[in-house]
Amino acid sequence: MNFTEFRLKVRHFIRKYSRLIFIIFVIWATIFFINLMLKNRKDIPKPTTTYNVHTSVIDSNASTPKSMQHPIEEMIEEYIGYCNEGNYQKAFNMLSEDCRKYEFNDNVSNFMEHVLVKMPTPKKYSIQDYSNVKYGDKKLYVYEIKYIDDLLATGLTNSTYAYTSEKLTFYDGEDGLEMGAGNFVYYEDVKNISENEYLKIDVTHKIVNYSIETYEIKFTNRSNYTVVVSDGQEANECILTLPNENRNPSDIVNIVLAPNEEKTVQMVFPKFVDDGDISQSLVFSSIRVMEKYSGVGEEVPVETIQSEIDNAISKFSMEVKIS
Amino acid sequence: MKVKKDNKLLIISIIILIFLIIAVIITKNNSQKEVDYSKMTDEEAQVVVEEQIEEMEKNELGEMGERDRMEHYVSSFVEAIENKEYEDAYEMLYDDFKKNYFPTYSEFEEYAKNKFPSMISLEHTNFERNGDVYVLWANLSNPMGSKDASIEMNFVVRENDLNDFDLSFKVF
Repeated sequence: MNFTEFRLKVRHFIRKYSRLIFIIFVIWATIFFINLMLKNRKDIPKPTTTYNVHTSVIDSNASTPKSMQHPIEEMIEEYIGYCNEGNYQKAFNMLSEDCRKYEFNDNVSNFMEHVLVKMPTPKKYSIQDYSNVKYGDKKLYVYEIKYIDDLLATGLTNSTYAYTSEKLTFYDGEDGLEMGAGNFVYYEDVKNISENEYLKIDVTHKIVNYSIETYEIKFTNRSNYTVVVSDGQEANECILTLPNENRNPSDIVNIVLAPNEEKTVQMVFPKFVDDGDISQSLVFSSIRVMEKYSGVGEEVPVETIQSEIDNAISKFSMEVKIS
Repeated sequence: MKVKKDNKLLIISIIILIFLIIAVIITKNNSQKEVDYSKMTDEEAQVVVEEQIEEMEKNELGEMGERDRMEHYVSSFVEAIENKEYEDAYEMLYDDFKKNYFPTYSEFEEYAKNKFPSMISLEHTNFERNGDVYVLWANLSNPMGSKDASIEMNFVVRENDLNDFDLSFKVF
């Protein structure tokens, strides 16, 4: 092959693959350019911090949507501003209707009492998304608010490091962003009933606070006997069932119904709203229908109590679904 | 048609070439940012050196975790007092704190001279964050003095940016 042939071959090759050569050149040039720019980019150092306001403490992969972050911050600022000014009515009006009604009994004085426990003097505050919980089709954003004196202004002179805190809950309601205070999370009409010939149990509603669930339950004795739902004599007389465990109420509630008596009681169960479990049912496992009931207590002999239980007309268990 | 296609290729090639030239110029400019002190007055050189030290310090702080940074800020304050650079230390204090306890610089100077040991050994003991405010507990002692004479102190720090902070302390 002489030089002319070689030249022609090269020329032929270039002509044939000109498009491919051009594409390779463009790719190479682009990579070269980007690499050059990145190499010369000056990174401005930024302080790293563990303080991520809108990232949930319970689940660090969850955070409040960007569109809600600023409105929530503004709402908290306004709310605490009113509290600091002593303008309790305005702060109270910012709360959701359910929160005003079920947490503070629609009474601004109750709310004021709550605020004065949390912030007896004007306070600075810090906020932190604590947990994001789904309830039905609603997404609830639970924020922890820490109320504290102006530490920077005092340097803790003549004071110790202490703060009060509460959970404020936010959700996107029909009229915009809704807020709950005093650890109130939500209210739900349950209206589930379980009944038999002796007893009717009507769970009317539940109030969910951050760490407790309170159920309002109406018991109706349909018999001419005494019906004992709970008097502390049997184990697990009232339990809240969760998918993997059962919970006893915070306090023993005596539920003893005289013939045809109707009684409404409130039962409080310990349960964190963000523990990942959903309450399933309320179970009353040792209901006794008794012809004779002398009560319980030190003054009543153990033998009498046991004998009355043994001679009960009927013993049964009832369950009311709540989810 | 062929002419049009060739023109297109030519235009794209020219654009790529322009990009490459810009990239080379930027790189050259960045590498030429070495400061020529010989053309500067002493004051100008000092400003440039201070800026460079500040930048280096910021880079160093950027590498640190948040607790280390806060302790560094407290140490800077204590060091300033130890070196009798009271004005620098006073500058680090939060405005409202100054208003509350040291409305004038001379009051702070007098306080610092009388209350802090002449040589200070600083031992950080505890650290807590509340929102964007950090509370630090520390023991201050004179390394030449007795151990019993150590002072337990609180410092409160808020970081606005790297090496930009507000500080206050428990007045004793």
